[in-house]
Amino acid sequence: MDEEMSRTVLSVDDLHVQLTLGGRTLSPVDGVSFHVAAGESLGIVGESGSGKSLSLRAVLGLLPSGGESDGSIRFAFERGEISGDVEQVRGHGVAMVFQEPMTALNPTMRAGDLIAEAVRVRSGLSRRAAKARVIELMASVGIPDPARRARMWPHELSGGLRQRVMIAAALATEPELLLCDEPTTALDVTIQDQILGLLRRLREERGMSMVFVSHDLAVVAEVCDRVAVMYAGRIVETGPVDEVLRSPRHPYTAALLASAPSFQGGGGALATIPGSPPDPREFPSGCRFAARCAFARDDCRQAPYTLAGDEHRATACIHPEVLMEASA
Amino acid sequence: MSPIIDARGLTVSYRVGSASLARLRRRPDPVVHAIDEIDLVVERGASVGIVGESGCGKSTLAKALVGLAPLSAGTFALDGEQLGTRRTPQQTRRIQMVFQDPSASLNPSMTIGQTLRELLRVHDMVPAEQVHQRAGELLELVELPVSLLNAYPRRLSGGQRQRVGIARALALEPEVLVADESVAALDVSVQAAILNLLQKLRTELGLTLLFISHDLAVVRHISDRVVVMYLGKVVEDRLTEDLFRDPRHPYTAALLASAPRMGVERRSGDTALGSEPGSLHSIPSGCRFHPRCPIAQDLCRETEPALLGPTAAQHAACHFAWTNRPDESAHRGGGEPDQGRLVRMVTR
Repeated sequence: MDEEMSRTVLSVDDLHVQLTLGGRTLSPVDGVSFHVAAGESLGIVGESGSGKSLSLRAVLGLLPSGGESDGSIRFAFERGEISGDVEQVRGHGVAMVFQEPMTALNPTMRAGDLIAEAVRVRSGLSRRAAKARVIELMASVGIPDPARRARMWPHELSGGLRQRVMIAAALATEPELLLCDEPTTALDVTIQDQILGLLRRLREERGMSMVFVSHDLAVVAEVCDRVAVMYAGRIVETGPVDEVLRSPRHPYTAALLASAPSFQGGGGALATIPGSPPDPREFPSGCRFAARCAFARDDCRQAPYTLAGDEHRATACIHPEVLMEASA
Repeated sequence: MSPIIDARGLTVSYRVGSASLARLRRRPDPVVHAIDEIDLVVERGASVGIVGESGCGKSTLAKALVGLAPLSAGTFALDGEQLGTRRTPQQTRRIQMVFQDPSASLNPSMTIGQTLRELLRVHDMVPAEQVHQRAGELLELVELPVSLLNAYPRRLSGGQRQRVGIARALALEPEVLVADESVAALDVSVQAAILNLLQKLRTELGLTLLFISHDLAVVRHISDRVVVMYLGKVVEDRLTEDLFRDPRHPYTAALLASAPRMGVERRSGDTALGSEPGSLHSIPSGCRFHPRCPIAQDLCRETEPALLGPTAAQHAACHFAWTNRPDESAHRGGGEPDQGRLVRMVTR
């Protein structure tokens, strides 16, 4: 592996997010660490409330009001290392694509002006020069008839086109790292395929790194090199995406995989996970999945949280051998 | 035995502009057909999945069947009894809907018990003194603790709310349950539990299930038969196994190919349908799918294909569905398909 590939673009260590809601303080993200190498695509999967989106937002300091984060977030771009101040990286190396482009795009600005704003922030081009760049960017994300679409308002565009406008605006800043928060969840499967194809092409052409948050394991399997599975505010398993999905080492990952209906068919009842995720106001001690885990033992309820393993693969389960026994 | 659902030529149209203005401008009447002459025949106890992209009319079809969307044309018979848009309570009861977003469809100011009891009283389902007990039984039926009768919807999780949505539909003891994207908003593990519940209820209560979804894996799991819709029309209607193994309509094939699947090597974007779905406001001539179709011929631009198939259970609305597909080399030539041996699903 050459030097470029081994450079770690984003290092997040021991990230905590505190949310204060109605006088109570929750910790929906509780000690999350992950690293993204140059050119790499990391998927973060988990169910609602697992803290996956908040972790991503915390990276850019985009937490909802009442939210605070601490932990170490370091960026290493071609121009140098940056840590601490997110203002320095927002729009200068990192860009983000959100789930719902209708709420993320300013409804009072035309599509072209939205992208132009991002272009001018980055390059300081004149209005006229920015305009040409906007059309170029819109064409590069596959928006047909870009000159006409640039004059349209967000509400006049279809969901797929809105998402392309948002990606074009993100690319305007020539990011080295693209953060995606469920960018295709609201889209039809055919349009999702187009957007995923676009992201893949952009990554190939620009060598961009990516963090891709999704609840959909099949989508993550397709667009990511590595995956981190989150449960109740913590990463429970990481590794290369195909290995994790083929032979999970945490019972939660295994349960999640078993509960998804298969495209290949196969009837019978789907596997379910008994109970529901723990309340973030009162996380249990020890393994947070223990109460729902088919393999839980007494020591699971006291075990301190550590992600055991190496950089390649790690699991927070203290008895990962049970899964191998179960599948044998 | 007559089919439980026998719908012929169902059309739901909406006016999208002024008729007199259109006349002055010598334009056609500004009407869009959200669903356009749909035929759907379903046997009792079947589980039928309805799939398609947003705007294909799958939800409108569901609403038309339960009487929430006015029919502009067509007839709908439930077990031989003709149902219109205005239905008697007795007719309403027989076909019920479970909605996508249970938090939006439950009254936030009523407890779960109040919601269920009101329904039981209004429809006079059980004698007054048994209403309380029946509400409890309904919660047990959907595997919820009876203690939730006194809870407000906001205290429930998404999965629990969806179970209440199902209990509410079942309160009226329907014969047909129409589930419109009922698991779309749920996490995969919760979704699995709701799908299992629907399967269980279907066998235990002998329900007929119409399952509307954009998620092909879910539809494959729960349905025996799949209806694929495109721009207000049915384009393919087959047994689930056949449809997933050997799709006959190029749209179905594209839909299947564009879904990411676990354990299958696939490059996203390679099979993408080039453009956006067409608009109901400007329906293409001939086959509605031809502008996006990889095998479209001149014939497709001129003639709208009928929904035909070799057997009563296999139908596709493509000129080339049951002939050898024109390949790339024959792209401009293309022979006339032989449709002599194909049959229509229903004879009007």
